[in-house]
Amino acid sequence: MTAPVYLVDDDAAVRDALSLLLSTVGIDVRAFAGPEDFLSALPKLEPGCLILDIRMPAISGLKLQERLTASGVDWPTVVISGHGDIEACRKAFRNGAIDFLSKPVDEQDLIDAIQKGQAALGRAAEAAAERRETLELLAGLTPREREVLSLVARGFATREIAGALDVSPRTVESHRAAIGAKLGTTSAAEMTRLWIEAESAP
Amino acid sequence: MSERTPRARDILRRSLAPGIVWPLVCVLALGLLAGLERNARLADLTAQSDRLHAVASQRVDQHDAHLTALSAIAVAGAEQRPDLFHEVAGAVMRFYPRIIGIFLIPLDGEDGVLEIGIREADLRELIRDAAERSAGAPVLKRYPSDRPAYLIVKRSPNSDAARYGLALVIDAAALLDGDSDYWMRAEATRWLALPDGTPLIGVKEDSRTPQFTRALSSGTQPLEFKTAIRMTVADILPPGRVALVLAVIVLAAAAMRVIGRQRAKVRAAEARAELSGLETRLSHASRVNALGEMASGMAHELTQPLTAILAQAQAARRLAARGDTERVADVLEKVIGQTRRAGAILERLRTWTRPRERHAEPVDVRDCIHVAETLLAGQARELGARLTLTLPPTPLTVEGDRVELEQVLFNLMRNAVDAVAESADPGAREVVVEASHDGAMVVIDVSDTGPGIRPDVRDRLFTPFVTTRESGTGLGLALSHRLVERAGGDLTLVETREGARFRISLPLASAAGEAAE
Repeated sequence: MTAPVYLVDDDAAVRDALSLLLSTVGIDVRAFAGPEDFLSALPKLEPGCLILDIRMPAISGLKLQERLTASGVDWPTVVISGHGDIEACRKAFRNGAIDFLSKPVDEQDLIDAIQKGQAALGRAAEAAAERRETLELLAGLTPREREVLSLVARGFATREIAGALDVSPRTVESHRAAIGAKLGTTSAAEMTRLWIEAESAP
Repeated sequence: MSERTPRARDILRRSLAPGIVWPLVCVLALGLLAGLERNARLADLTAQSDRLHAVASQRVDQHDAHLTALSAIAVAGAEQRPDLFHEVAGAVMRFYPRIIGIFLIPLDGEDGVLEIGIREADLRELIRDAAERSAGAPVLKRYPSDRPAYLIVKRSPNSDAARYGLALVIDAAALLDGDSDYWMRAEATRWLALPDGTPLIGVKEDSRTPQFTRALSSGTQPLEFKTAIRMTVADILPPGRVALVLAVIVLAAAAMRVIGRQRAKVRAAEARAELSGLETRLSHASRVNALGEMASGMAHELTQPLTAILAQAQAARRLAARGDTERVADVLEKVIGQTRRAGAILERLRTWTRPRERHAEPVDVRDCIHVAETLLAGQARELGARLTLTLPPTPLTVEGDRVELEQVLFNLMRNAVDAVAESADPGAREVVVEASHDGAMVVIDVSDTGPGIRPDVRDRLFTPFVTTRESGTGLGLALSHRLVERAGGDLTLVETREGARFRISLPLASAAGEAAE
């Protein structure tokens, strides 16, 4: 719950006021005067929740959102706008915004949106950690064991695997026992889940 | 609207130009007058001639009766009782003075010739000859003398066994004698001739003179009777009446002229009033129109301070709950600042939308430029235009209407922002507003890096309804030009290598004051 919030708004008064408000709630805020400032600082930033004003010179909030999505930054984004423009709202959500708020923004709405964003960030971090763990577990398997696991995950029975690998069923059984010990489970279903997770990892 | 009516009236008025129309009216009126006068005179002639014709016809009929009576006496015994014939003839001549002679001529010799009134031997042969040739009807002969008279000759008794020639000599002048003095006039002529055309009396006018022609209504003496009236220009155009008609026409012309001028004056005043009303409405409409265009920008403009105020107030509430009064005071200061910002935006909106009277006062044009900038900032940001102001630190005061000058600057700056928005290169979207004073003049240049002004509209830039923008009304520059002129200045397009530059020149207020002193 301590992920930082990045605020991009070109109006100094709005920027200061929202920063002040969020800091009184105990949220760590960093404000940027424009999309260019934010983009240049981006490589050094840790993942956080984005608050973008939709109307800004040169690059609008929506354009910035698109650019970030294109470059693989999928941090939760809250779009704030001077008018309740439905078209802009639809675009923002299509680009993956988690919320769309009209100015003037009420603190509760903003805080709720940020919390939603931080929760999403938290979930993402958890999923990433799990996947990392799985990959680490699978990294401990020998090449032969990995071969056996892939066949198990595809639903083949021990005898079929033995036939396919041209080994005895007993050897397959012993490989399975070793895999079970390393992954901490004997369930074929659980093994399958871990395999799929590892395969889908980037 | 009824555009045709005034146009038709215009054509009429133009054709009523005094040079052509009034002489024409005079000629027509005089022509009409002449026609009427001529007709009246002709009618007079016809009436008089009719009467005279009737009298003369009646008179000649009496001659037949006399002849018959005298013939009877002659046959009964002229030879025995010539005194009786004499007596009756004398009585006839007394009663009818136009009968100037009565002859009874025996056909077979000089014996028994009776001559009353006239004695002329020549006539005897004439009468005898006529009587012998007569086939029963009386014979008419010119009286062979200067005297206008004719003879009616009859055989007596009226058969092949006739013994006498009986003749009456009639004075033609007396025959036409009447009680009317119409015929005394020199221009009224009468003419009488025997049926064979031998003239008796009077003048025969040529056929161009208005005439009355009718033979006398008599079986025995259908004399040719003609009358005529000569008319001169003075007759058919009596000077008195001509003068009267001309006077009436001149008076009518003068009256129409006065009425026309009066109406033209009224029309001009109406047009002026309409125009000035139109201008006021136009100015207001243009401002409202401009306002509509920037309404979305304004809404955003206003939400910014409101967003700040809301966030600051909510932050202050938290700080106050925590007892951090020092920071609360800080935040409240910011709230006040943002509220003022919102108020200023609203104030501009208000002054711009309200129709108002022009109010000249000393105005610092830098303020006007700032106001226009505030109104345009949102739009400029959205279009990616950079708005740069280069203003001197000291006031540039001119005499003028504040809102009008703001409007002019807003129009020029908005045009500039719109122009650069079309530019392909986002880095070159520059609008620069420079104000300075040059001697006694304040010069404000609004320059942009847009595509510039097309040569075909350059000459008509300040003409209403000329626009290069699809959604433009073409009023902005025209109105701005007028407003600047009204403040005693000038608005021009300055030649530049790229983009467009509009220059407003206005007299400095202090200079205007000194000049007045």
